[in-house]
Amino acid sequence: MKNELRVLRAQREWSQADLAEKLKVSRQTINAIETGRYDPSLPLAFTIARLFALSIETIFSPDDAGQAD
Amino acid sequence: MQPRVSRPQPKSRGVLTIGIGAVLLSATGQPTPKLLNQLTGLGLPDIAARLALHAIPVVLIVAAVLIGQMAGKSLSKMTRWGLYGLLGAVAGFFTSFCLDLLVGVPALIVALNGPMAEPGVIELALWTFGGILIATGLMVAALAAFGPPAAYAMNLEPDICEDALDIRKPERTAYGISSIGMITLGVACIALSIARQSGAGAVLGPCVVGVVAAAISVAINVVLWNGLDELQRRQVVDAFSVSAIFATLGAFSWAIGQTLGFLPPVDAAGAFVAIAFLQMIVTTLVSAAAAGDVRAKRRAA
Repeated sequence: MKNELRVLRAQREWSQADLAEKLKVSRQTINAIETGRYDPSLPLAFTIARLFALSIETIFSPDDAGQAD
Repeated sequence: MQPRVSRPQPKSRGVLTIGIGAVLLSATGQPTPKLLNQLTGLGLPDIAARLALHAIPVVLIVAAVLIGQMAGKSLSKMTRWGLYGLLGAVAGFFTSFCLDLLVGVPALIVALNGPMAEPGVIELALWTFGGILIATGLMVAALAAFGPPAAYAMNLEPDICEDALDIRKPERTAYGISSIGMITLGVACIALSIARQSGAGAVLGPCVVGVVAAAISVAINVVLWNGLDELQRRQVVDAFSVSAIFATLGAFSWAIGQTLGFLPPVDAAGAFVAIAFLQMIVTTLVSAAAAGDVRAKRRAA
């Protein structure tokens, strides 16, 4: 899964720790999501989407998004 | 475009800390009579032989770390850690020839609980595992108490990643609770070993200590679990699932070996220490993989 979390976070000038605090997860979890080592659960993905006021598919997309259609 | 200014990487002080630890460990020991006699037999004055046997382990332990750092420069982090472990085991092996370590501890236990039998393989495994847990717990407690300065002091990697230094207050609280869980489990392991080594009339005391310590450890792990986020919980579940697979395979292999007469029947304490050690190793690997320290195979796109 690819995601735009790092970009969205940088746009708001939040550190990983800031974002972790807002989402009530550990900073390691934010780092793991941003680097693609961990795909968040649906509840966390919804929380992230709500925080950035975007849809989930704007933030997250499958690795093979271009080939799926 | 402005030139990129790179901040100087913080340097670890792990070698110095290991050196101080090795000196303190050496101070708790006394030279093994056999090697001491051999050295004095070669004409070395007694005091010089004793000093040499105290100094050799310190040199060996520090040399093991330095060799690991130099030889491991081009290796991945996990391979380098494996190299540290291997060299540390070699240094420990030779240290055991030079010194009987922690000489006051058996006397203290005997004074508190009565005479003990010599430890067998399982008792030695319980002592070793308990010791590792207590040592790790103390290191985690140092991180909880001192934060980044403790990370500087204990890190063996030449450069410390920012993750290791960015220890925040909630994490320090979790580390503090976790350290108590590790230390109490270590105490439970050692208490079990003492109970097994004690005479028939002195089993109850260490068993009570072991049960209380284990109960505290379990309670602390429940508290920790409640504070974990979804990634951390998944790491725990993954680690225990992988451990269960290996434990099942190991138990089956042991059963075959026992049926063929190659292996003795499984001892409950042996099974406990084997499973607990396996869980510790797998949990470490799973956490390292989540932190990107282990090259995990990517799924095919």
